Amino acid sequence: MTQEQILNDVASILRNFNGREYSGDIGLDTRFFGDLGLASIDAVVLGETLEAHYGRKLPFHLFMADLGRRAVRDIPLGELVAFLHNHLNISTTIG
Amino acid sequence: MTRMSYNTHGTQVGNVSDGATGAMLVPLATVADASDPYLRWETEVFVLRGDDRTALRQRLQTLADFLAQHPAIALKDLAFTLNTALTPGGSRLAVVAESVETLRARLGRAAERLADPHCKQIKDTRGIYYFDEPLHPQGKLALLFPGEGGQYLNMLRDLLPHFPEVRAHFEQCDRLSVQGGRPKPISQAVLLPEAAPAEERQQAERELWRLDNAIAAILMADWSLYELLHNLGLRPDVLASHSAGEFSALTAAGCFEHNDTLITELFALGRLLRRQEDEGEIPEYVLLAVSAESDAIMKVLAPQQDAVCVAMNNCPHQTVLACLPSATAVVEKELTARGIICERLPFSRPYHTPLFEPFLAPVAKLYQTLGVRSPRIPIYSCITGQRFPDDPEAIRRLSIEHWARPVEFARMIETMYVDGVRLFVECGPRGHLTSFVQDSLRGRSFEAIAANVVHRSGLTQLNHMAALLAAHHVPLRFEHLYNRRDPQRIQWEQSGEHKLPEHPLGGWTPPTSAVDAPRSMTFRATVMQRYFGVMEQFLDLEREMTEAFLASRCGARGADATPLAWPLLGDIIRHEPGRELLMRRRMDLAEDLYASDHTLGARHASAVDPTHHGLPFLPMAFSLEMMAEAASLLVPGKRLVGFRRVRLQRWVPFDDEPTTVELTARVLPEAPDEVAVEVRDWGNAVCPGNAASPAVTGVVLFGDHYPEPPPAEDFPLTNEGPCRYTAHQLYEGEHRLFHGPLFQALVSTDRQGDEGIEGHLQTRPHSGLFRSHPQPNFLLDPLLIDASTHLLGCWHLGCADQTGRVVLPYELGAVTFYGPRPAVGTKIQCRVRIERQSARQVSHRIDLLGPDGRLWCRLAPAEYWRFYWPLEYVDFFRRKEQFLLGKRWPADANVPGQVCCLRVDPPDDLCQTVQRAALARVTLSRAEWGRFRLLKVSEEERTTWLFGRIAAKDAIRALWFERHGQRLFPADLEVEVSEDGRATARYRGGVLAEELPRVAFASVPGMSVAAAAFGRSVQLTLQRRDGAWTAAVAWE
Repeated sequence: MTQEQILNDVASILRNFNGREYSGDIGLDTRFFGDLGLASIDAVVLGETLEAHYGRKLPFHLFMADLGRRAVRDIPLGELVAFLHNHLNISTTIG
Repeated sequence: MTRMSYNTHGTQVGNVSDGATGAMLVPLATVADASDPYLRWETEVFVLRGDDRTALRQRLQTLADFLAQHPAIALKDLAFTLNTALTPGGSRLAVVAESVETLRARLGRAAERLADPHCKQIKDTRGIYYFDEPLHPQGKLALLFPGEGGQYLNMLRDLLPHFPEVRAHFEQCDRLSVQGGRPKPISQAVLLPEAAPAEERQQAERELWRLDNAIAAILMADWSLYELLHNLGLRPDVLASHSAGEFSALTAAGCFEHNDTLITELFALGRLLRRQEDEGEIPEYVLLAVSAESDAIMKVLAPQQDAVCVAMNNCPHQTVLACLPSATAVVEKELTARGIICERLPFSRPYHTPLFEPFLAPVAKLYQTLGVRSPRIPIYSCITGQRFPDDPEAIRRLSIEHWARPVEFARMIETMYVDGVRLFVECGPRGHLTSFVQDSLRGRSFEAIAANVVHRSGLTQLNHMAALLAAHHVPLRFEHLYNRRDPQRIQWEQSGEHKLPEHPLGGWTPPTSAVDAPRSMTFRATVMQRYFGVMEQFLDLEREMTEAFLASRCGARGADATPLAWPLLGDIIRHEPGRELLMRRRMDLAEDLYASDHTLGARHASAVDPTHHGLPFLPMAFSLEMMAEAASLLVPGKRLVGFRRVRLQRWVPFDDEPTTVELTARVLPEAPDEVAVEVRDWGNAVCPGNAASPAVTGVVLFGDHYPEPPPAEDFPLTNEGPCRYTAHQLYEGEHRLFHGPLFQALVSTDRQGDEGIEGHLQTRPHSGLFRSHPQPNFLLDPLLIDASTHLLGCWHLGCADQTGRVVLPYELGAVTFYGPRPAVGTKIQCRVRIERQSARQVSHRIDLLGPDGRLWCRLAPAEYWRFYWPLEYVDFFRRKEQFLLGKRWPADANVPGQVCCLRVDPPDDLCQTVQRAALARVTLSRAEWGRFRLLKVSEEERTTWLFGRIAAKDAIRALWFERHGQRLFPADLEVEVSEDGRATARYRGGVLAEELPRVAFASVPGMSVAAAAFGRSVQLTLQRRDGAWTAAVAWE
C-alpha cells in the first residue's frame, strides 16, 4: 500500500471518529491533538479501528507506548501513516 | 443596580450595560476590532437561535449575507450581540471562528448540513455544533474535577489576563503558599517563561509532578476554572471528581468552605506527603497506565498478583496499576506481548491502594481540622462509584478511605449516566477525565467536554465549551466573556426584524442566567454585602469629611457652626465632657430629605409615581458628618481637621418607619484631640440591626489649626484621553450613578488615563436636605465629599476592563482637611489617582483643590473592594421599564403576543437582606412594599414571596410589550393572591388599552415561574422529574 492510500484510509476514519466530525483538510501535517482534538485514549481506539479496518494486528504499542508523554507535543498524522506503511507491508494477519 | 454603585463606583454599570441595552446600537462604520489583545481574542463563539430549524436556517443566511457586506465587523461585538440576546428553547447553532472569513465558511458548511433533513446533529471539532435533540434540560449536567496528573506547565496562563477571578485565585494561592513556608509562590511552579530553555523546562516539568506541587497546582487550577465557569453561568446538577480533585468537588458541593484555611491545609498536606516520600516512609511503587480493562489485565498478570494491584479503573481503555519496582519490567513485558500499551506515570507511591493505609493519619487530621458539612449539590464518590452520603461523618470517613482504595471512575460515570447525567464538563486542566467519560459511555447519548486542554489555547477551548453547551441549550451567562472587552451591540438584522420573533422581548434584554460574578458561594455573597455596606458608608464618610473641613474653615465653631444648627446631632443620652458621649439620632425620611436622593436600587421605579425610587440609605459622607458633630461636643473650641481609620461595616437603610442610630464617642486618653466613634443602628423592618456590632467606626481628628497642605503635584496621565461619560450622562443621561439632584455636584469630567481621572465639582447649596433645617450648618460638606467619589466611578466606567467595576469602599485610611470649606458655588478640582489595584481591590487617593490650586482636602488611601455583578440586574436597575429579570421558560409554552411563560432564578446577592429590600422597593407597588416589609416569614419565604411576584410581573410586562409595544414598570403593577391561590394583576396607573393578561405563578427553592395569557385563565404546574423541574402551562 502506498502512503497516499493509507492517508486516505486514515482521513476517512478520522473524518467522523467517535461521534466527532472534522470538516477541515486532513493531510500528513494534520496534528492529532491540536487539529483533530483527540486525546491519547482516542489514539488507542484509533489503533483498534485501524486493525479492524486492515484486518491485521499491528504493533501500536510501539507507536503509542510513550504517547502520554508525547502528549506534551503534538503528533502529525504523517508519523502514523509512516508507521502504518512500514508495518502493513510486512505484518501478519490477525489470527 | 446601578444605583448602588451609584455611588462611587458606578462603575460596574458601565459599558457592559451599553452592550446589553438594545437602544444603544453602534453605527457599523465605527465598528472595528481593537488591536488590544485583551479586547480581541483569537477566536469567538457565535450562537444563533431560531424558533425552529427552518427559522434558524433563515437567520443563518441573514447573518452570512451581513458578513459578506461587512467583512470588517468586530467579531467580539457580533458575538456579544448574538449571544447575550439568546432566549431559551428553539433551534440553536453554535460556531467558533477566528475570523470573518472562517465564520462565513463555517456558516456555509452548517447551512449545507442543515439543508439535509437526515442531519440530526453537527459536532465538528473545528467549531460547528448543532443538535436536533439537545441534551439539556432533560439531561443533568455534571462538573468533573480532575486530580493530580491533570496539571501541566503554563496551564491557565492564557486565561489570567482575561478573567479576574482566575487571577484572584492564583494570587490567593501564591500568598498562602508562601505563608505556608514555600520558598516561592506556587504559581512559579506552574508558570514558566515561554522562552525558557529545554533543560529548565524539563526540570520544571519534573518538579511540577512532585506531590506537593502536583496537588497544589491542580487544586489551584480546578478552583480557578470553577470560579470562571460559575461566572459564566454554569450551574451543575451534580459534581464528581478523580483522586485529589475530590477536595475541589467537596468544596463546590459546600462540604468545605472555600477559604484561606482550606487552601493552607491542603497545601500543608501536599508538603507532608512529599516529605514522607522524600524520607522513604512510603514504599516506592511504579504507577503504570495500561490500555485495557482491569479484569483482562489481572488475568494476564495472575502470576505477578503479589507484586501488582489496581489503583485506578479509569475507563475501558485505561487502568492504572501499582507495581513493585522489581516486577515492573515483567509486567510490561507480559502486557505488551499481548499488544497492550503501557506507560509509566511520573508518580512513585501506591496511592489509591491498600498499601497507603498506614499513611492516612495526616489526611484524617486534615478532615478533622476542616470539618465537613452535608453537600448542597449531589456529589459522587470515585471510590464507591455511587452518590456520597449526606451524613458529614460518613463523608469524612469515605474521603479518608479514598486515598487507600482504588479509583472506580468508570463505574462512577456509569452510575451517573443511569441517574440521568448526560452532560459532563471537566472543570480542570488537560482533559483526561473527558476522554475517560467518552471512552466509558462510547456509543450512548451524552456529551463530555473539557474547560481546558493542553493543545488548544485557554480562550479557544472555553469558546468551544460554551458553543457545545449552548448548542445543547445549557443556559450560560455569555456577558462574562465580553464584560472586560468594551462590547458594543451591533445591528446586523434590519431594525424591523428586531421586534419578533427572534427576540420576543424586542428591546428588552432578558437575563441569561441566575447570577454573575464570582458568586454562588454564600461566603462570597456575605463578603460582598459587607463590602457594599462599607463602600456606601465610606463614600458618605468622604463627603462628610470634606464638609467638615470646609465648615471648620468657615470658622469651626464660628457663628454658623453652632451645635444647635448641626442637623445630624441627635438626643444626647449621656455626656461626660471631655471624655465620652452617647447619642441617639432618629433617622426619619420625613426629616432626612437627602436620603430620598440616595437610594439603593436607583431612581425612577414608576411611570405613575415620579417620587417612587429605590431604597434610601445613609450616605457615608453623612455618617462622617454625624460622627464629627457628636465628637465635636467632646473637644470644644477645636477645628475638625480630619478622620483616621474609618471602617464601614454595613449599610444603614431607611424604612417607612423611623430608624434609630446610636453613636458612642470617646476621647482617646493618649490623644485628647482625637475622638473614637462607633455608630450602631437598631434596625428596622427592612433590615434588622446589630447593636453588638458597629456599622461604622473611625477616629475624628481635631486641632487648633489646619495642617499645611503639601505642594500641588503634577498629574500626568498615561494614555490620556477624554472621559467616557459627561457628568450629565453619569447622572441622568445614562443613569450610571444613582444620585438624585441634591447630590449631583460633579459638573465636569475632564480627562482620564491609566493612572486616574480629573474633573470638577461645584459646591452645592445645602437647602432642602433636612425638613427642620432649611439652611443646615455642616462641619464638613457631605455633598462635596460624596461627589468626589462619583468621579472615581467614572474612571472605572472608562476602563477597558469591564468587570469588577462595582467598587465599594471598605476603609478610609485618612481624610485630611487643609483649610475651611469653600463657599457655595465654588469650583473644586478633583483628582483621583489609582495607587494600586488587583482583581479584588483598588486603592485610590482623592485630592480636592481649591480655585487657588492649593490642596484643601485629601482622602488617602481610599480602599475599595471590587465586585462582579450580574449585568442583567445592573441594567434592570438603570432602566426598570426596559429590562426583565426573568427568562423565557419553558420555551414551548410561549406563544408570541398571547402567552408568556418565564422563570426568575434569584441570584444569591439579591437574596441578601438589604439588596433584596432594594429590589423589592423598585419592583413592588407601595401597597405591596408595605406588605413585604411586614411579612412574618422566614428569610427563604420572604425571598420566594418577592421573586414570585417579580416573575408574575415580568410575564405580564413581556406579554404586554409584545402586543402593545408599551413598556410597563413592575412597580406600576400590583399582584394580589386570593386565599384560594388565584393571582390577579392590576395596573395602578389608570385605564389601559385592554385588560391586563391573566397570570399564575409558582415558586420552588431557587426558582420562580410565572405564566401570563391574554383573556384566558392560565394554569401553571411545576413538577420535579428526574431531578429537574419542569413546568406545564395550560390555558383556556
